[in-house]
Amino acid sequence: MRAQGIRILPGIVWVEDRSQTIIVNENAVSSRVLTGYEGALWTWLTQRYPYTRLLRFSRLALHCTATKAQEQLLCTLQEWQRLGLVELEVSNG
Amino acid sequence: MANLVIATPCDMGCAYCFAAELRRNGDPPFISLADFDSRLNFLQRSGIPQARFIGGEPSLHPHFPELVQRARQAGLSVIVFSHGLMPPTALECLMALPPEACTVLVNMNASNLPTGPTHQEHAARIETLRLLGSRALPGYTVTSPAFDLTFLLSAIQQSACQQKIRLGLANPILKGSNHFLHPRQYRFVGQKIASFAPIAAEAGVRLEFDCGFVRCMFDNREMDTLIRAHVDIGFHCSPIVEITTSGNALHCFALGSQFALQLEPREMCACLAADLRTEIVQRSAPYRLAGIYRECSNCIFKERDECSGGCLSHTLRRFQRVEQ
Repeated sequence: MRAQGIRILPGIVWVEDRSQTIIVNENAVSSRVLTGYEGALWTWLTQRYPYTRLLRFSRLALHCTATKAQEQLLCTLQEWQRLGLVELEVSNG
Repeated sequence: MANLVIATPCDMGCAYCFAAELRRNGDPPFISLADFDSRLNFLQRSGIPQARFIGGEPSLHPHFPELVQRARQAGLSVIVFSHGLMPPTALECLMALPPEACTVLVNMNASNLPTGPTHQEHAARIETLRLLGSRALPGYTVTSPAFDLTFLLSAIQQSACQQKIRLGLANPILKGSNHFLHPRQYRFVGQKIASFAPIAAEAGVRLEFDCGFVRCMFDNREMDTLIRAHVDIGFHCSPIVEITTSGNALHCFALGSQFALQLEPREMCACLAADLRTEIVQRSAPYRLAGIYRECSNCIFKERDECSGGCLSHTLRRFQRVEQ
């Protein structure tokens, strides 16, 4: 399973601080603080990097195999989708 | 507290004015007497003992003396935020109030000119301070690192007004283009204020901080200096709640319509200031994790609630969003 398209949803704003990224969901009036790998992944998303590059960067950042990196990447993205931060288009393959 | 916008026009043209959005968004220029009575009722119901008049220039309201009289009849003291060059009728009605029931915060650097007040404007303001006496509290908005507060000491000595200076920082309008003090200039401004505080104290004048100051404008030695000079120190940014002529409740002028509550007339007849404030605080809370600097969200002073992280309008300008 892989995410074909990933889109940050309207109403999501963020600020990159010295050691963390603060995400505010303007629709839900809620916030989330991202650090470490999550913070880095968010920055890559804002750069609109393609999934293959997200996967490659995740593998390098997490120092793990491609399979493990894919698991972690999808898990994080699906969590963000559940929170209403991003929209994913997932396909098998 | 709650501030009542009673007039949106102003005959000054301060480049740093953060009330400019009021004039752009089509609010009525002057509050009607009927709406004003509703606001007084709102203040009384909310247990607020003061009617705080803001604008624009509040004294330009054609019925300003009537508004002051109605506020006094409602048992409220009156606070007016003014540029100090008010119409004679407005000045006279304030001079007639008991000093303990009236404070006029006079912005000493309001001007039509980018270079600041003319000699004539400055002289006229000193005369306003003199006529108002202890009712007058001089204020100064720091708009750039090149400022000098010493002229205020002689103005205070000449006029027998309150022995205080209310210091403000020029904050940005969130969706506007006013001239404002950039946070990277704050440290230098802090040094200058810390140098001036003992001079003011020596002259018997106490400094007070308005909103938006941050703790890191001052090092520990400068903080000691401020404390010894009895400066009224505050590093806060929180909504007072400004009620516009159209009846909307704003966090503050700088944030404009962001977090604003649009109140129907019947809601204005039933709501309480504390409830409006709570609602606005809740709406703005997620953004307060951040501050004006990248370091704010990990700052020990912010963690301890000793500093709010500066003006929220500055902070919100740091947030990014995806272009759709």
